[in-house]
Amino acid sequence: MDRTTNRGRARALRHVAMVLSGILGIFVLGAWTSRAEAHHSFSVFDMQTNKELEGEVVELQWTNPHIFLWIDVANADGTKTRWGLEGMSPNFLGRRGWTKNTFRPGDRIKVIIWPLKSGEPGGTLQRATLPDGTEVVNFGGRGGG
Amino acid sequence: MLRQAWLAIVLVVTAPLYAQSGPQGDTWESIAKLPDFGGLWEVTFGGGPRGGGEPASLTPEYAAKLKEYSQATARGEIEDGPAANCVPNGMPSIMTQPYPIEILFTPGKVTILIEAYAQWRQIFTDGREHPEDPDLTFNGHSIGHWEGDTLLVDTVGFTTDTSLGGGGMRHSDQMHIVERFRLAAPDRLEVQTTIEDPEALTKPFTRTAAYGRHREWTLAEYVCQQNNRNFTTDDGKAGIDLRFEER
Repeated sequence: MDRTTNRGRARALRHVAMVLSGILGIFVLGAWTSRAEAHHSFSVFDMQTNKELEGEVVELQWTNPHIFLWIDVANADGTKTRWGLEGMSPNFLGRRGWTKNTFRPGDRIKVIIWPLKSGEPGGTLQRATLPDGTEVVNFGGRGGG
Repeated sequence: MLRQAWLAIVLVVTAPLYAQSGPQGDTWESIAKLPDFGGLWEVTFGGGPRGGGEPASLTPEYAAKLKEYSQATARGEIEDGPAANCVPNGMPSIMTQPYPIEILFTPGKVTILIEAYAQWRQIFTDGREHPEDPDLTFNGHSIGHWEGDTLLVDTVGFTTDTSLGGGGMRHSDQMHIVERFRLAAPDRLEVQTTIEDPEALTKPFTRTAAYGRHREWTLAEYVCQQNNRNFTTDDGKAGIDLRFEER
């Protein structure tokens, strides 16, 4: 099956996930961050800051307990910085329309993240805009982890 | 002669009752009459154990432990717990992870498959008792029976490595958990959990979790060690490993 068809299907699912997240996202985060019983706390992330980055996908690691999206972001001096962005799990996202091919190496994307407090190039992926303009939401729907 | 005939009649008439006198769920025939717990269940948010309810009433010793933990957290000394290192939560928290569970009936046993941390619980419904001196484990030793459409599960034998909900609320190895599983609506499972602990709690602590049914879902693999970049140090500091390595 060609990539365009897959993308079209995934796009419809993503849209549903996005709408759901708008309604439910606040409850999810409220439940999560107040408890340490999910996989980990958010103490290393600055959840007050929504940082926007634009870069090129190096690799999507479709792994537990979290997916990791690696992107290269160009700096003003011509160098690049590799950012590591943590998302939910393949289990959670796979049930909400994402696949291991949602991001492909070389894709130019925009992301909004909660950056690490340490200043290291990493953070929690909140949402991303794919090359075709569709937006995917990490906390898409109920649950978390 | 007449007396013997009567006895024979009584035995024949009542025989089916004896045949059914084993615990409900002990045979495939009796499993067929149990409520339909099929499909996957995901805990719903905004209610249940995560919202409201009377807080646990802790004994002075355990209240002091919680206070110490909370203060250390507030000072930024404790940032995360063992789950960040892929240690499963244990009971009761393992039942309310943001991942689905599946409940299977086989003769004499109910098995709960828990996707988070790839855990399972087995609940013996064959009428056996708890061991006299159970090994202490994360999920404990469970026996259960049906009361009408409600599955009652009684669990003992817990390691004190796990916490009772939040990280600072501890329990002893005397913790005793009773859960009542029932369908509150066709696609809504409610589990009322009552926790007793003579060392940690001054009175039983009850909360109810609700789960939504997803018949179309299947369990997914969860190997936490696959690519776990989060960690908690021995003294409670949280961190993240950002070394890139192509997979």
